[in-house]
Amino acid sequence: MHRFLTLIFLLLFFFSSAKATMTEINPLFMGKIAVVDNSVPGSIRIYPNGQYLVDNNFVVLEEGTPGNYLFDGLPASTNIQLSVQTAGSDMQYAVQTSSAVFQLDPFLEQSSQTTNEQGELTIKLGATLTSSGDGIYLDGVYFKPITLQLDY
Amino acid sequence: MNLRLINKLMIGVLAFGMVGTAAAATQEINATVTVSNTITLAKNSDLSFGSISATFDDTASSTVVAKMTVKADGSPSVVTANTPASANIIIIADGAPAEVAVSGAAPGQDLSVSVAETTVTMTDPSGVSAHTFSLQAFNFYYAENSNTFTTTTDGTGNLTIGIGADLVTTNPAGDSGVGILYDDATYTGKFNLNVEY
Repeated sequence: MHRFLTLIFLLLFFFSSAKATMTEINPLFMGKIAVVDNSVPGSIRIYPNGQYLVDNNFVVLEEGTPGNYLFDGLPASTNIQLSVQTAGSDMQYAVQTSSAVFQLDPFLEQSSQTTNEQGELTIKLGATLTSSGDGIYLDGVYFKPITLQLDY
Repeated sequence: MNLRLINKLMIGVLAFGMVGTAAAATQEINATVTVSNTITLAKNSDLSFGSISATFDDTASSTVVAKMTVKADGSPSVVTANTPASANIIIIADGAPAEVAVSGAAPGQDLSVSVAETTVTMTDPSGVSAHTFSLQAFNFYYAENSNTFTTTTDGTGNLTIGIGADLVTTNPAGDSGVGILYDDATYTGKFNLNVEY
């Protein structure tokens, strides 16, 4: 009986201390673009299925990709509530601050998903990028940290 | 340890387990976009009208001119002059169009190509000659599209632009007559090519 209890404790310890880890299959990339008209706001939308919609305000040099992330270490066959959070919606400019900024609003393919029998879950992420409608965009990389939250 | 105690322990353990497995995981990721507004231009060659013999009409109030057209596609240049030619251009060695290579643009994208100046006055920078030519009517050729009107970049965002123009004699109106020879000199002028989306 002691062995049985020890086993139970060890299993519980294992499950309660198991930590979900993420592998980035594809980053959320809104594309390589030229902003040819910033007199009015324009938008680029990437859907989680890869559909890429671009307003005439932009010329696309390289199409973007939706985010695709593999989580493991989650409990098997469990419903997971998903959400995304950002600190504000303005993207940051990697080179300097004297540039017009984009807004980025990410969205998930699904708000809840069920892990497989191995405790794995693939999450797809899309986003809408909106230009400011005034100012000049300097060449460079603009980025936005996004927090993915999994509740289970 | 009797069976009742074990059951209590199991219940306690399971309760602990249920609380312990209700959890949240967070992961920070980055979204990026790359802005590349700049189109790169590289001049492969200047526009040359070669070596010519030229005369101009210096009659007061005359508007008679001769012109030499260097074609952007590199085909032989053409001279247009009156008959009899009070102003004329004779080609000794033909010229060649300018060539500018565009890179870093969007693939398969139509570009706007133009010369900023409508007319450029070509002068002798050494100052030996006061004579001038007028450079005007720029024409273009797009090698990737093999024509003079399609400005679409290729699959890698490149476009090779040939630039020709008319070299036109001028009328200084000194009233010294017709068929006045230009001074031997090298006449130069500058123009700016604009390429944009």
